[in-house]
Amino acid sequence: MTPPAIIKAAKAEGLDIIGISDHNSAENVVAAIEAGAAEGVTVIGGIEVQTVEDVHVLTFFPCVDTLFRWQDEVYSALPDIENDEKRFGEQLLMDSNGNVTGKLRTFLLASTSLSVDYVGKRVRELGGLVIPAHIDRPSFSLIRNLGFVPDTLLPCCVEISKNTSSGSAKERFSSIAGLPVIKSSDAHRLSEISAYTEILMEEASWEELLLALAFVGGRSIRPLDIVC
Amino acid sequence: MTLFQSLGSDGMDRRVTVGDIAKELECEVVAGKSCLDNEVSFGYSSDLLSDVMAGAGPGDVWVTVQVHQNIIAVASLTGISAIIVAGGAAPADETVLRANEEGIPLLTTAKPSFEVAGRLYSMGIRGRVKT
Repeated sequence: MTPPAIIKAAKAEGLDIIGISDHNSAENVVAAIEAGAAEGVTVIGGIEVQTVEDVHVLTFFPCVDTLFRWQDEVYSALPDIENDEKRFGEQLLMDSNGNVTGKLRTFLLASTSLSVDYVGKRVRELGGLVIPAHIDRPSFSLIRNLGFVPDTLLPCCVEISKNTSSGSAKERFSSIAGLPVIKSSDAHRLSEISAYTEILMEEASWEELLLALAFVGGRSIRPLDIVC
Repeated sequence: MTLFQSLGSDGMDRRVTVGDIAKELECEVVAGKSCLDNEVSFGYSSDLLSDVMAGAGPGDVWVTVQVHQNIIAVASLTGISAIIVAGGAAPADETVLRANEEGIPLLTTAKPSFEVAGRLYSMGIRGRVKT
């Protein structure tokens, strides 16, 4: 799963814009952005933060400088545990051609000490987007772990997994009422990359994405409800 | 119901109150001090709030390590008598504030959840069985 291979698969699936959000890290985002730029695929860089409550929150940023500032905060909130490669696999760093340039020592699959409320507040301060991840899933979900969307979190939307429809999510989780819903592949393998959300916007950019999230000027976001 | 031992020195049968628990387990009461007379029906132990919403009931004492403000809303919703935050976790300021607003006793202890549940059981409190 190298950056160019991800971009190639995304392009083959007809995707114009994708989000890259590794677990507690953004190290490979620049490689993905560069690989995407070469092929005309817009890459929004982010981090999937695991909060102290074991909740996964997607955090996305318009520029890599802010993203890496946020990454520093996430890293300093991680326990100092070394990755056990035999159990959890390698944490590889790559360039935009897919060459391995290094490895991360710190174990990324742990929870940070950051609360979901802090993540929400801080990411909004830094100009990023806050999206509770796969809220319908039985684990690492905001709804599963904390019962409902806290009224102070103010996410820009919520993410549902590819295994559910937005209609059934809205029925099951009343606290997401009024929030836009996106559906994502959460692809951990190339074969899982596919389009799950249709966004109507003028171009595949961060600015247009913000306008689409606000449904401004005919722009819209619509999960594709083909349950797999 | 005869699940509850008398704690009174007068030999009268009465339900365990939140105040009894705070004293017996040497908990710190960080919020809801005016509601220590709340009577306790059953015990519930879980850190998944969706599970508590579905399984806990009126009068329960709830043991958790979660400190997010949502625990207060969940307690309010289900009619929980008190929350014991175990394992030395410190409730967020907002959580304490909301507990006082909602009148939910919020107790903290360094004892781990396992030991808290064991102590509560010794006091005669039994686990709520989901219906």
